[in-house]
Amino acid sequence: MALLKGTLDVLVLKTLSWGPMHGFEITSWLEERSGGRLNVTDAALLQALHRMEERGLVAAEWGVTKNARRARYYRLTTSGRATLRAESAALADHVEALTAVLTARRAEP
Amino acid sequence: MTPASEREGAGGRGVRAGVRRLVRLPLRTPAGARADADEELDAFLDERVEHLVARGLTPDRARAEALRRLGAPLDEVRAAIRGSATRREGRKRLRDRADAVRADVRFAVRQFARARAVTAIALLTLALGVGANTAIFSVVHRLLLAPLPYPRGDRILMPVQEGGFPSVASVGGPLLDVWRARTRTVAAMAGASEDLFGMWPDGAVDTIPSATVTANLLPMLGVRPALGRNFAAADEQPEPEAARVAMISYGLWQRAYGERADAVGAAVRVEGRPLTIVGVGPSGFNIPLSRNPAPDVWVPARLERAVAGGSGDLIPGPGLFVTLRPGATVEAASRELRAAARALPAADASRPQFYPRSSWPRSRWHSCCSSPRGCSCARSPRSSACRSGSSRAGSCTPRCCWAAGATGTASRPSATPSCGASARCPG
Repeated sequence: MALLKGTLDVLVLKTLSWGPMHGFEITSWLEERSGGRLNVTDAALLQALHRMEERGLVAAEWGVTKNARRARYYRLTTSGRATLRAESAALADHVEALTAVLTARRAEP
Repeated sequence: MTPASEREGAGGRGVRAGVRRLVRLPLRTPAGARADADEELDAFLDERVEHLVARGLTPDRARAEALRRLGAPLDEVRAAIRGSATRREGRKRLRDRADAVRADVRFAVRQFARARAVTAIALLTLALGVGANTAIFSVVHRLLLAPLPYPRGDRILMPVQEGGFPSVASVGGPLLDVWRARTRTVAAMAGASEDLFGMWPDGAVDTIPSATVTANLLPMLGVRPALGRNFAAADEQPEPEAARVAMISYGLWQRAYGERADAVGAAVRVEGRPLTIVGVGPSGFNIPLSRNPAPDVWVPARLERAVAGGSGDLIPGPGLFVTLRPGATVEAASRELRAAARALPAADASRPQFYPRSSWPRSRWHSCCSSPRGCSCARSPRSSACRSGSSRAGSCTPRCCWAAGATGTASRPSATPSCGASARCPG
C-alpha cells in the first residue's frame, strides 16, 4: 500500500514518540505496526528525517546500536511533539471524513 | 541503546544553539555533514542486510533486497541525502548567526540604556558629523562638481588664473585675441564684471549692484528676459551715447517700477550716463558663481571691457565664460586654452590655467586678501608689469588691492577685506 501524501512525517513522529530510534528501527517499527502493509522506501524515510530535523521537529545525535554499530538516533523535540498532536488529529479527522463518504449507503426511502 | 551517553562530544547536533554557542561547540562543516549522511546511509543498509540475513537470506541476496527497499538507485539516494544534510547544516549555521546578531543587538541596546549620557553624546556626534558632511558635500557639489544651473550648464566653463595664486582675475585683450584665434574647442566667450553703480530712477541716487556683461551672456546661459528683450550684439557698441541700453533685474523692476510694463523704454541715468531700459531679467538671475548680490542693472559691453573688471575695482571677480563646441571635452578645451595662453609673451598676460566651472578661486581670493601673506600677489609678474607702467588695458588688475583704495564707496560685505599692501598697488 503506497503511503498517502503527507502522512509519512506524522507516522515517523508517532514512531519517535515511543523513544529515540535510528532510521532502521523506525522503518522496522512502522512495518511491524502496520502489519507490513505500509510501503515506505528507505530513501524516503531518510530524507523525511533530515527534512524534519531541518524544521526542528526532531533532533539527532550519534549513538551505538545494540549490535555495536554507530547510528544516528532521532528523538522528538518539543515542537515535534506539538506537530504530532496537531497533525495526527487532523489526519484522523480526514480519515474519518473519508470513511464516512466511502461507506455511505443509499438512504432508505 | 543509550544515545545520550554515547554522544560524541564536540559534534553534538542535538545541542541547542544557545548552549552550543556558550561552550563554543562547532557546527558541522559541509564536508562533515556529507560524511554524516554517508555514514548514516551505510549504517542503515548494513542494518537492513543484517536483519535480512538473520531471516535466512544469503548475504548477496540480502544486499540486493536492501538496495531494492531503498526505492531508488544508491547513488541518487546518497546524493539526495547528502544534499539535505548540507542544506540542514547551512540553515542551522544561518540561524545561529541570526541568533548571535540578535543577542548582540540586545546587548548593545542594554548597554545604551545603561549609559544614556554616553549614548546621547555618541548620537549627537554622529548627527553632527553626518550633518556637517552633508552640508560640506552639498556646497562642494554645487561649487565644484555640479554643472552650472543653466540649460547645458555642463558645457559652460570658467577659466581661472594659473599659478600659486589662482584667481578669476581680469583677462587681457591679447589673451582674448589668441583664444579667439587659436582655439577650436571654444564656441563662444562671454564676460561679466560686477560693480556698484549709483542710480535710482526717481532721480535720487542709490548704490545698486550692477554688471557689465557681453550681449551674448544671457543667451549663452539660456536666460530669457521676463519683459522686453535681451541684449543684441549691436548694443555692445558704445556709440552713439544716446543709444546706450540696459537691462534691469526683476527685483528692481518690482521695487522701482511696480512691475509696470512701461519700465521697458524708460530712461535712467546710471553713473550720470543716460541709459534706456530694454528688458527685465528673469526672477532670481545672477551671474554664474557670483558671491555677490544679483546685479540690478546690466549694461552691455564688448568682451574686452566686460572682462576687464568694473570701474574702480570695487568688486572682485570679472568672469569669463566659455562654451564648448559640440563634441569638445573640458580637458581638450583646457589644454587648448592653456597652450594658447602660454604662447603669449610673459609680459602680455600671465598664464591662465583652466578650471572648469569652479568658483573656489573666488573664495580663496578673499582669504588671500585678508591675510598678510596673501598680499604677495602684488609681487606677481603681472602686477610688477603694472607697476612698471607697461599696463595695457585689462592685462593687469592687481585685484588684491581693490579694497584698499576704494573703501569710501564700498558698502558691501564683500568689500571688507583690508590689504596692507595698498602701497604696492599700481595706479
